[in-house]
Amino acid sequence: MTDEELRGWMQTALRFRGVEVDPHDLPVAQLRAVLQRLEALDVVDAWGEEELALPWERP
Amino acid sequence: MTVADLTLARVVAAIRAGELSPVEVAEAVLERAARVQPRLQPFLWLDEERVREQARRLAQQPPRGVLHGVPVTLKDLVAERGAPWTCGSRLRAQVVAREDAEVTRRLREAGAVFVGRAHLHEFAFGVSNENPHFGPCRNPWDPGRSPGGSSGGSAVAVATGCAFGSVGTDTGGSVRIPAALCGVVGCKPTYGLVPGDGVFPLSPSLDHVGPLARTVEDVALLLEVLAGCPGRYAVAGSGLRGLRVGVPRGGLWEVLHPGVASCVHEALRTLEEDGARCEPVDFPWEAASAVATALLLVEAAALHVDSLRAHPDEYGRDVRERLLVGLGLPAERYARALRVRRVLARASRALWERVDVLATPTVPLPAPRLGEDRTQLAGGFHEIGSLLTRFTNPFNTLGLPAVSVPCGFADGLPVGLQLVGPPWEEARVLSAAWAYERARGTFPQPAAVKSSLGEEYA
Repeated sequence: MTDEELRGWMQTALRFRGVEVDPHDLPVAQLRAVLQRLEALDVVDAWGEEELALPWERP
Repeated sequence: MTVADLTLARVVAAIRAGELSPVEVAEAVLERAARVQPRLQPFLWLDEERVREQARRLAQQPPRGVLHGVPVTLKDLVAERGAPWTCGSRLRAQVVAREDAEVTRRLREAGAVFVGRAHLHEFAFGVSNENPHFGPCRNPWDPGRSPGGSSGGSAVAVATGCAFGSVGTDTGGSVRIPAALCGVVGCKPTYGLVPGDGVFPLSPSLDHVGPLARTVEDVALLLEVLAGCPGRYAVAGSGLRGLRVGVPRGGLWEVLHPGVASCVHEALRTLEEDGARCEPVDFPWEAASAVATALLLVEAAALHVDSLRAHPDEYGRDVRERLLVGLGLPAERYARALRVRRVLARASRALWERVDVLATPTVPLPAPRLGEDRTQLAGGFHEIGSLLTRFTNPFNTLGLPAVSVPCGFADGLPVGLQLVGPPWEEARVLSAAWAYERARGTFPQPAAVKSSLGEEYA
């Protein structure tokens, strides 16, 4: 995604939630950095796993 | 040594033995706070008369709990009936708590005296404790540096003798990071051990409430009260003989300040000399940290979206930008993070068959300068917020108990050793930290305390 595409994505997401921000004030670089960091999620095989709370049970 | 410099355990014993009264202890702490507050600002609010009134009332009663007459401070995210509850935000500048948080109630029941409201990063959403609305809290070892956050005021108050203990919150390291950068002990217990009722949330699936104090014994005492488990975490025993210590290997050690690396290696040698056995282990740092990042950003954004829509300019720039990033993350990233968390949690069970605790640096660098948001380390430039949470937020993802204990100095600033254990094994982690602390010897007080008392810098 280019910076402009990411800016457009972000602006749409914010507008959908009623948050208005000048497009030039959008933290596009920060969003890109976070998305890159989250690529670490994709190296873990989580197929079939459920989105539930932690499995620890109190003794 | 003055009364304000005693440990919490020593003050408990002195009050119980009638050697000190709650009023004498409160006056000692208030005198110290009057010297420290103008310089370091550990408190967002401090009403001296309110402190004296609590102490006088307790002095007229027989001891009713383990903390009878002991001054402690609460991060201003934890509700205290009748006191301001700003959460470090201008939006809440006029809010006064109508009820105690559950942890406040437990401390009050134990006889604690509440001193002020401890400084924090705005809404606990950051680790520098540079607050655009109330000004920064400063590091007692170098006032030009950050104390770490978000429970920075708690760590500074404890380090400087303005309180004998404090309650902070830890969503990605916010108890352990300031503890490490200020040279005190901080504990993030297992997720759910200490109730969060009446504590303003940041990211409910990562939020933990935990104590800070000057020694491991003091932290253990506070945790017993916070968790409602009298006697469970009493530190004592057989030292470190036979303890299996896992030391995560891999690239994580490559981005580390050389002074921090030296302190932590020395600490590991101390553990071994005292009978522990260290062995390298694999740990999924990148994935565990990525889970914490995704959950934190999305959950915080979900909590603040209505307020952000109505009052965007009332948020500080760094917090506003993080909330906007959270609103911009695809929902698929959040759902995947939840699934990966389950996989990692299950996989971590195998680790505890091999080792009893993990040992890591708490943070990879000493306290950064105020205003600094990037730094050069290991030949590259790094964003300081991400660096500071590098070793801590994986254990918020997994909800595991973790303690930071001081282990030396780098560039004249404190360094923390982090010990982590299996779920619900706070006693094991605290006992290991206590044994290390005894082997290490007394940790000095910060220069700012000595300076405020008219003594030379340490």
